[in-house]
Amino acid sequence: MKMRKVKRYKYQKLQMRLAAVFLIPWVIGLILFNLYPIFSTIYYSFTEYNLMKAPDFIGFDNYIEIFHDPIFYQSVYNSFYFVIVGVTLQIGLSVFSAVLLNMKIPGRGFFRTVFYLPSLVPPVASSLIWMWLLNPQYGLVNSFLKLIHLPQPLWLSSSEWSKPAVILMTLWCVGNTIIVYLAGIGNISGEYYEAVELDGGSSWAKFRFITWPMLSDITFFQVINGIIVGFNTFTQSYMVAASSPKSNGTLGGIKNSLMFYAVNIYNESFKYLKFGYSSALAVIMLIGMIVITFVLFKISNSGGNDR
Amino acid sequence: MKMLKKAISIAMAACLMFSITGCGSKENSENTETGTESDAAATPGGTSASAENGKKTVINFWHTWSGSEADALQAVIDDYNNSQSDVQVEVLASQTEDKMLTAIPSGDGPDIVYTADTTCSKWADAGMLAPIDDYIAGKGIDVSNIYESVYKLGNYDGVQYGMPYTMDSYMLFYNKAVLEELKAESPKTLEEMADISKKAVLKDDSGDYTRLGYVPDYPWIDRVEMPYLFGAEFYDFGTNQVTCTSQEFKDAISYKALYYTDYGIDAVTKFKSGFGTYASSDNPFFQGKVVFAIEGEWFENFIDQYAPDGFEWGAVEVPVTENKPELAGSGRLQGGMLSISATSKNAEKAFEVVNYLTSDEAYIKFCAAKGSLPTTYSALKSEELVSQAPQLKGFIDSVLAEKAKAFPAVPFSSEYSDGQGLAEEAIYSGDKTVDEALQDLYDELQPLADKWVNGN
Amino acid sequence: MSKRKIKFYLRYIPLLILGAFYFIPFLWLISTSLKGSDQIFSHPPKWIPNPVLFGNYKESFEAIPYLKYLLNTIKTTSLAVLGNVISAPMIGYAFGKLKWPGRDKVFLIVMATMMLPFTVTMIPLYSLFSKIGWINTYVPLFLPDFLGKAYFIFLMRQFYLSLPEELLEAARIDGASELWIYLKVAVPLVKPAIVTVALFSFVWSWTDFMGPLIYLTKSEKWTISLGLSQFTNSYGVDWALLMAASAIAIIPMVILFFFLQKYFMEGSINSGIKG
Repeated sequence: MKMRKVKRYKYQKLQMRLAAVFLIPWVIGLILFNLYPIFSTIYYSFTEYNLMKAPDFIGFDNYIEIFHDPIFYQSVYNSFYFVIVGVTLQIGLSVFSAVLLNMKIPGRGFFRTVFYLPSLVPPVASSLIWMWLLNPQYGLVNSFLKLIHLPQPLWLSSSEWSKPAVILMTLWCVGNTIIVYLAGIGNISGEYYEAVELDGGSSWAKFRFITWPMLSDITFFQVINGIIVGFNTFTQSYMVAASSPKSNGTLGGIKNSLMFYAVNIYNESFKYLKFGYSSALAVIMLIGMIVITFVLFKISNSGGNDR
Repeated sequence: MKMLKKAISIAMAACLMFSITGCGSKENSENTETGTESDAAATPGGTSASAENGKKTVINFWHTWSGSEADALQAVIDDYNNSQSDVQVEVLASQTEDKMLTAIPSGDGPDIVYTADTTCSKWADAGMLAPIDDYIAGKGIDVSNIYESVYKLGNYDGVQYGMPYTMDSYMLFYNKAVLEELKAESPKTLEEMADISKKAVLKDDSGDYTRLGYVPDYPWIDRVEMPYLFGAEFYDFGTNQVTCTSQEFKDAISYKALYYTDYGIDAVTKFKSGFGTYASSDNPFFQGKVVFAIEGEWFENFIDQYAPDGFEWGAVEVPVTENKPELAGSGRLQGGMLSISATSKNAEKAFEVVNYLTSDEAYIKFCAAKGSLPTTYSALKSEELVSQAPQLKGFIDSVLAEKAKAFPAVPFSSEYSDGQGLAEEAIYSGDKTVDEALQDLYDELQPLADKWVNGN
Repeated sequence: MSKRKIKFYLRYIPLLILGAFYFIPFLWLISTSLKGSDQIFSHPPKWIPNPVLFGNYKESFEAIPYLKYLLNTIKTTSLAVLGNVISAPMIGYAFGKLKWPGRDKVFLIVMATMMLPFTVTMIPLYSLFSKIGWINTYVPLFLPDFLGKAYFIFLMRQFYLSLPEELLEAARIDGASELWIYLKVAVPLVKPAIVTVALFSFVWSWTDFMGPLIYLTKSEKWTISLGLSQFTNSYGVDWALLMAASAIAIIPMVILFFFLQKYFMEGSINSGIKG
């Protein structure tokens, strides 16, 4: 008995040694790509800095300026709009698609492929494809709307429709989420559904009382992921601006309706050279993300008690 | 034991990969400094001359042109590279200003940059550019030979950062066949142009426009051009005031707004979304979709290349508002600058290149090939240029009249342009009145101006 | 009988509608990429190009150095894949199977870094790399992969956790070294997960945009996404060429997908499980 204990201890020591070796790259990465940038961002946020001249300490001036900057508020609004509407629709569409793909009917393998394929398209390419599909004059979408006598919005050229248009672009690429939900649905035991059937429940009841609650862990994960991705939306705005005529295209799109938070950070740093100011924006974003994640964890934990 | 051996070999292979990739990147950064074979080969359009001699100083020159315009520059650069054995100029074409901006601080960027006039002061303010006063004096360059108003744009806080290289002047191009069809003369005033535009409108069955007279913000210069055509200014250096709330400025924006509000902003936006590529036969002017276009000296080259056979066109001086005929010829003058990057390790030799490019022979060769206006009087007035590029005649006369104006050299030019764009969008869509929008613009920009003035 | 049949077919309707939403953009992409400009700007839209202009593909290859961008992308992507395939199984093993004090608490840090957006760290990293002279090299693009990406560490850890402890214990009792156990027992068992990591890092690296946009200033170093984005930068948009260029950027992914479909699906499935 005593012998064995000693041996175990030896195992652990060896394991710790290997773990130490294996963790070296991670620790370097943690310092270089996470800790160093976070602290530097915080430091820069109190300075005026443009890469060329040494950072000049200016206290809270950047933060004060941010809270007087209408573009900051607009970018916050745009990002929240995008995240709230976008993530809701993404989750809804993914769950709906997954339920459909879960039906045991011929040809579902084909449909799975088709539903997944768009998520492999580089965002730059998918933005271009949708910009062309949504072209107000020659786009396929408006031609279709015209055919069925619906109003044809100007999409990316209109401040009301540009965000829905970008959300539509992201809805096209939900393949990964669909597959995750599909796996989740596959793991739900058939017995639960039988119980509902015995009670005479409809398909909707099965979804409402079995499928959806059983998927809540996945949904939680996907919501957090969606929020992070959503607040970092950049490529679409960049592409829309890049395709508008020379120098008239600001990164924010028409009436700054596509000035998302990450776009604003890029714009302030790489176009206006205000790295200190944009660092302050980044710090606010970091705090915001921490708060949002924390609140979501709290909500999900209290919700978890119901089950 | 065998297993362990294998494990070690795997680990070693991994290390090897690390070192290979590490070396690869190191090698690359060295290349850019000394300019060895691979770098020259990788440069689009670069000559292979550098491969012969690794000792040459490599000067990196980044510019924003592409296609035939880039070829025109490459031709004179090749001449320079062949003319001496000390310096090898490597050109990178079709760069964007964002790219240059991020490359300069990295130290592995350009030595010479070609940028728009509005950029020069902004970058000088940021410390991105090297002062060139000493080099100009050292070379004994006669500054009075340089077109003054454009030369001034390269000056920031009394220090010269940019050597003018191009200068764009604009004319109103019109579709002759359409004007004949409408029985109209080419417009003498902006108001006349608005009237003709009204008559030129064509729609299809579903009520979408298929032809408009003048389309604002197409191709792109209206933001600066229109205020000048009404006698407005952007900035007053005497009082350090942003002047976007002047009556002239308001008139200009109101005039431009009519092209949206009279025709319906949604309908015009939809119409514009169907425009094809500018540098192609899909250009809406060549397609007959627009009747008027304010274009620069390069446009005749474009017409030769892209317009359909038998395309009839004319060009006149850009008209001004009828109330102020004395403004005639006072449109926008846009300059392009050659500057030396602040991180250049060979600034002096880089200036040699700049000096060569602006010397008469090379300058005229370039301008004739590109269809561009030189910024030295000796080149502007040379008969050589006009005989090689006769289409430039009208533009040369127009710049020699010295009435056109350039956007002021302020360091917040990007903010000004973006802010003006947003203000105009708010006006066209009816969110704000002209007065409100321009007042808001002033409130946004004036603090930047104050900061600039007080900061120095 | 017939009512049942109708019901059977009715189930396809929503599938077909959504399928159209996902698939028609691809058809339209191909159709546009083969058209001339007179057909692109036409009402109502024409599906079948006439004439079929395969030349658009050739032209888009010539308009920008596409082959070069393709090679560059293959370079960055393969380095990124290599990095993740080495680092993620190692680090994941340290968190999933090796025992050391405070392990699960430290793992929370891994999870936290997963939530740290690039936008927040972008500026200091840019500034740092610019001082080191790594701008215009691929180092900033693949180095994070060699140092372990949180998402893949998480994925590997989940896999290791599902391995029965007895297998490793048996090897330990036989006196095998820890490194041997890792390489000979653990790694072979998580091979499918490693393939998934490889695939996902391939897709991410191939489609990455903001990294190359910031770090690669010289066009000779550009990746395909960056090249594609700069295609529009000059005056206006040539839709046929753009669509042809987009198709070229997409095709490698689609080919890969058809060969390795199973692993894509498995990877997505495993990534959805809460840690």
